[in-house]
Amino acid sequence: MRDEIRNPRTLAYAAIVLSAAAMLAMSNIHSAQRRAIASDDAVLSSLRLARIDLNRGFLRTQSSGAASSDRDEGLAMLRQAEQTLAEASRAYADSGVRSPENLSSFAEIDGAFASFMSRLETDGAEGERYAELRISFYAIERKAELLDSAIQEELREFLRGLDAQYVAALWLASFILIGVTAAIHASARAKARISASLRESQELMRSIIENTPSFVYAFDTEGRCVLANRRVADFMRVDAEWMIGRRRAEWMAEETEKAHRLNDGQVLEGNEPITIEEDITEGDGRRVFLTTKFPLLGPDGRVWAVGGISTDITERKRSEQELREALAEREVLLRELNHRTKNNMQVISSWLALQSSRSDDPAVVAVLREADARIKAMALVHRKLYQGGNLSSIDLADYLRELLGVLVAAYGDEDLRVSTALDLQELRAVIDVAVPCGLIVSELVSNSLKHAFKDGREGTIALTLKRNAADEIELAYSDDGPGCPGGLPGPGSKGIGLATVKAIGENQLGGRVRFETDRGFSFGLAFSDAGFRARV
Amino acid sequence: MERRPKVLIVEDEAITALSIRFELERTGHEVCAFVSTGEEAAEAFDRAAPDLVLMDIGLGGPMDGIAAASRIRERSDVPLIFISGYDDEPMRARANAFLPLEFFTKPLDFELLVETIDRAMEVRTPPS
Repeated sequence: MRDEIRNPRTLAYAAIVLSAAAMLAMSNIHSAQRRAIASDDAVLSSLRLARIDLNRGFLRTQSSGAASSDRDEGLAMLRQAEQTLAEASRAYADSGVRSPENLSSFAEIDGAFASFMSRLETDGAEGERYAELRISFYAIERKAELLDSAIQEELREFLRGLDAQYVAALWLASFILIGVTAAIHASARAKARISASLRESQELMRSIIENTPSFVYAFDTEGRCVLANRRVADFMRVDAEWMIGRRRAEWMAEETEKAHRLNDGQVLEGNEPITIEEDITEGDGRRVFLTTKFPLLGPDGRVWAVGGISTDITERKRSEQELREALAEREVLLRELNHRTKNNMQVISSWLALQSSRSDDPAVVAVLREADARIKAMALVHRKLYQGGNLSSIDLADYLRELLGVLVAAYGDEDLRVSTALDLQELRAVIDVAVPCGLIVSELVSNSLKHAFKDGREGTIALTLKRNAADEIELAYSDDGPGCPGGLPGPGSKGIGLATVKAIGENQLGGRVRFETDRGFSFGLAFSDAGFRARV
Repeated sequence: MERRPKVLIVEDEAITALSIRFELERTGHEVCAFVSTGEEAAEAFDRAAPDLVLMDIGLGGPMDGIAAASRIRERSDVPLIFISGYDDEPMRARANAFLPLEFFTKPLDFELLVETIDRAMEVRTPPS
């Protein structure tokens, strides 16, 4: 009911009815007042008639020598006048215009008339009594005239007021009607605008639904189709209108239909959207869709259908699969390459071992052992790559830590008393960085064990690794041996170890190399690996 | 006279096999046989009755080292050392199913290899 009252159309109709009722009521009141005025007119007419009868009757009875019949006729006239006056008095009392003053005047006239008639009939006297009656009559007549005039004026005044009220009521009703009409017109225009906007909105929605490359559809809780765009119909090779009200089973294979129905059930049960992959095997084979399904709520807040938007991702899935296969193949190839590399290194290492076992020259054996250590340093990188699950980079700190252990064990003999002090920041390095770093450390360790800690000298090898503020890798190596009293060996010397280190650090890694031999031996290298990372 | 421990080497890379053989013989071991395929390994095991088997995983032929090890395990609980250029978790998991003494990756650290073999032999044949 409240909603109906809020409806502009209902309000308009109510206003019209009320206006019409008000006008009708005012019209009725006006008619009633007019009737009352007419009634008062009748009263005045009666009064005038009574006055005429009075005059005529009085004159007839007054004339001297008048026949008895004239006198009787005069009396009859007077009685008629009395009766007419009495009726006028009653009519006035019953009319809508009831002035107390006028009513008392009427009562006075009635009393005077009654007295006059009583005396005339009782006494039958004439002469002076007639004169008195005549005087009395004139007084009465004058009173009647005055009353007539007063009543007329009062009625006119009343009618003027009544007309003003009537006109005001008419204006009011007109204003109401105009207002209501304007309101109805505005309401109609607003409704037209809303309808146009709604049509535009519906057209936009329809355009989107029909032109999207995705499938758009909805099924009610009973599994009947309530919406299917052209893409769905074309794919299913049916007519979109034909689908409405039908179940999927009428155009889908049993297994597919069951899977899709179960997904709808999941939305209905959870009352929230889901995003899944759905298969449809129709026509030209299996297609894969990325589907979002969501509950559609009615005005009462209850789910009445499940809406769905499905995008064909078959090609994307195929590409992803191809990419996965390509990546897997690349991984296999890389692993195989690593394996072959390690095997080849093993072969070289085995050759060196065979050569070493055949030589009695300690210098030859030492050279072969150094070469083997270098091979192992490089092979360790491949092992780390293999174990780390990342075939392009390794944890450089982890690699150098293990390498140092391997080298000390490989070069060391029973009386070696060397400890290590490591401060290695965890950072990842690609193979093109890790291998040169490993070779550098291999040469430096070889150098320390051969020169700094020979003959059972006790000492410490320190190695630090970090990435500095300039995003460079910093590698620092030192031993606390005697250093090189005669300075570093020059280019022409027999030892090639430090020359190799310098070449790797500066030429291969593009870094800054520092050697110090004042107190023990120390080496520093700083280089940027950004270029190496970009190559991977 | 103390009997030298007999080692069966299964390795398809000849140079590697040869260097292992020299290293073992240099350190007082007897290489009773060295073969290059899985099929030959089972045969050599029956024939030579080694005290320890050194088994490469990536062998030529249809049978890899792990499959060959399973054949040997059907016959004996002889100590088994795997050597391989491969070193990933699935590979290790497969190999560990046959309870190897150790799993060495290439290139080999011969000293560590010999040390491991000697320790195994000591445990297996305690001094009387």
